[in-house]
Amino acid sequence: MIKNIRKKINNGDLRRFRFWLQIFFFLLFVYGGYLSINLGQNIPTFACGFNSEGQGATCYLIPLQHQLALSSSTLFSMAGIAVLIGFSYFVLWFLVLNKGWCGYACPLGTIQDWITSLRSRLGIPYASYTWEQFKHLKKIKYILLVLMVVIPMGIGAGFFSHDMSTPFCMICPGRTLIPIFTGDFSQLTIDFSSKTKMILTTLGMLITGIFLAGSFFKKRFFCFFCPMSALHFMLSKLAFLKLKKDGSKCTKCGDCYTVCDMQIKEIADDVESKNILQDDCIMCLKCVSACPEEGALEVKFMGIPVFEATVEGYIKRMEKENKNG
Amino acid sequence: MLLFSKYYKIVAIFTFGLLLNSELLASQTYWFSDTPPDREFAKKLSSSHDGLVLKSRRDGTSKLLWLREGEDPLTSTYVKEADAPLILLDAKKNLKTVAFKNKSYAEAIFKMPDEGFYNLFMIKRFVEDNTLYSITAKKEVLNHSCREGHDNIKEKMPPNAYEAAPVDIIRERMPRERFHTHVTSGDIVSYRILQKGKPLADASVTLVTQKGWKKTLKTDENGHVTFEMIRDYYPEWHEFKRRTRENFLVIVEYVQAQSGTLDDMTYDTISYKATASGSYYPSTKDYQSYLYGLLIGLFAFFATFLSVYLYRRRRLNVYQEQRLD
Repeated sequence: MIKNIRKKINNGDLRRFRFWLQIFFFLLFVYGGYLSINLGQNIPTFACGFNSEGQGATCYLIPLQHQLALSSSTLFSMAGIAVLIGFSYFVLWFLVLNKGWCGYACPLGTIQDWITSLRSRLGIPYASYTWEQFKHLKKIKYILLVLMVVIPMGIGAGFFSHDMSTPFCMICPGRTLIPIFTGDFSQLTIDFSSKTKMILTTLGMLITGIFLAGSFFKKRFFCFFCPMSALHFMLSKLAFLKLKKDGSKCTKCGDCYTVCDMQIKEIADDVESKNILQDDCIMCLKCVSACPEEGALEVKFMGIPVFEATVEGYIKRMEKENKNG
Repeated sequence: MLLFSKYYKIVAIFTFGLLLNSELLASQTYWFSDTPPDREFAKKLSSSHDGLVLKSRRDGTSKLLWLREGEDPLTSTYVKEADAPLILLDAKKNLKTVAFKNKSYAEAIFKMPDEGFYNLFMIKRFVEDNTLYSITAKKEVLNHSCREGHDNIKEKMPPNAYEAAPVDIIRERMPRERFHTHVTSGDIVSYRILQKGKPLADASVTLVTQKGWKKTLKTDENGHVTFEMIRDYYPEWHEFKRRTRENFLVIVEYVQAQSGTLDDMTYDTISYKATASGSYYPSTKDYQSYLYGLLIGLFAFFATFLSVYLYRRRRLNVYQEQRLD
């Protein structure tokens, strides 16, 4: 019985499963509020809080930045416990899906996948970074993460203006784009009320424009720069969901690298590491589904295998792909 | 005549003790303000989403309100002493009694342990010249901290009515109004006037802004009245502050022919006067621009698109050495 279920999953069409799961999470996070759904404000993905009408949950980066902007005396007093409690809830949510939050649940990631799909249908080839570019660009998310912590703390200490509060949200394309889905266009403005607001909202609109064009050419364009992804990676070793590799079974055919939206080279090259998850990984599991070697790549939840590369599954998926042209 | 009436008022104020004694005057307008009379004292208070609050580790968040006299929010004087009963309708719809603290001025202080709207009522009734004067001053105060999250806000948004109030002024919520929403210039603000919980028709309702603009309308059969909040903030651009908070006052007056007895004194008319104060801010339309936002966004979008196109076009060109051959 279990063997049959496992076989069915391993032979399954991951692309279709992912498409529908992404739709589900998109509806949940963007329109859930209309059905009085509220999963709280510690969600480890871009369930944008600026989408005030429909939000079914709130991205953890909003309360984190608010809390870090508390005056230093408050932040480092008993009130700081509330910050730790919030972080604990975030970790608990994160542990369930690991970086799968990016690949399956993130509304901004889903929007990027839809844009990619549009480009693909138009027959326009995608872009990729050189190895040198890739190495430099991947550092940006850590810089943004540090700024996202330092700037709010600087506000609390009185070094920066309160107009800089939630600095990452101000430049996040999620703030400008996700509320549009519920008819709220108010985030598409430039705020001239102060120099700080003007600079931040201008940056926000510039990044939105670059995001739309960038994700048209480059798959998951923004995910390279996402500080949430950096935060995820720091906690990924604790997560229940794990991506495992058996290097002895790998032939370095490179299929996994070819299908990887994030251009992660290690997935093909590294035959030493058992835990193959990298900081840029969005756990879309396309690599597992494209792997032709029995058991070379495997997804485990709390040690229990849930999806693994099989020859049969690979052949079935290829046959389906060929049939669909 | 006008000069005489002004002179008469000044004399009356001095006769009754500059800023009044504990006895309220039927001819005057009383309202609650959360602006402290003393600037030094204001420094001890913390800002919140709805004006200044007192925060302490022992008592949490408390609100201070001062009783003021006059129809002009800017020049109204602070009452020095008052002994009228105060009733607090808290965020959980429980009724509590509160007493004035007559330190330097008549002030009311109450704790706000829960998130939501608190309503303070001062209700005073007395008979004079065969008329029963019913004076009500109301202030609705929001208690919200982003630190505590934004869960279940929709449930907490509807206004709470105090059915026993002789006249209750209820500000109806604006479309999409949430805890972070402020009344701004240009907004349509609607009120429902209730008399002992039932709609009061044909009552005279006056709205007075901080700069002294006023408009009087009559309530319809459902007790409704609607005003458009005017724009009256025109500073030099370099002096513009989007957080400029100005007070406005809503005054309801209604006279009813009804006989009765109060404290062994008979009356044949009831004169109702009720106030509710609020605050408004400059409209976002004064300082936010969709045009610039969209221009910047579109510029970034097309610049990125063009860059990728030119980069790809350059790569399609044949190499120099091939052309030479």
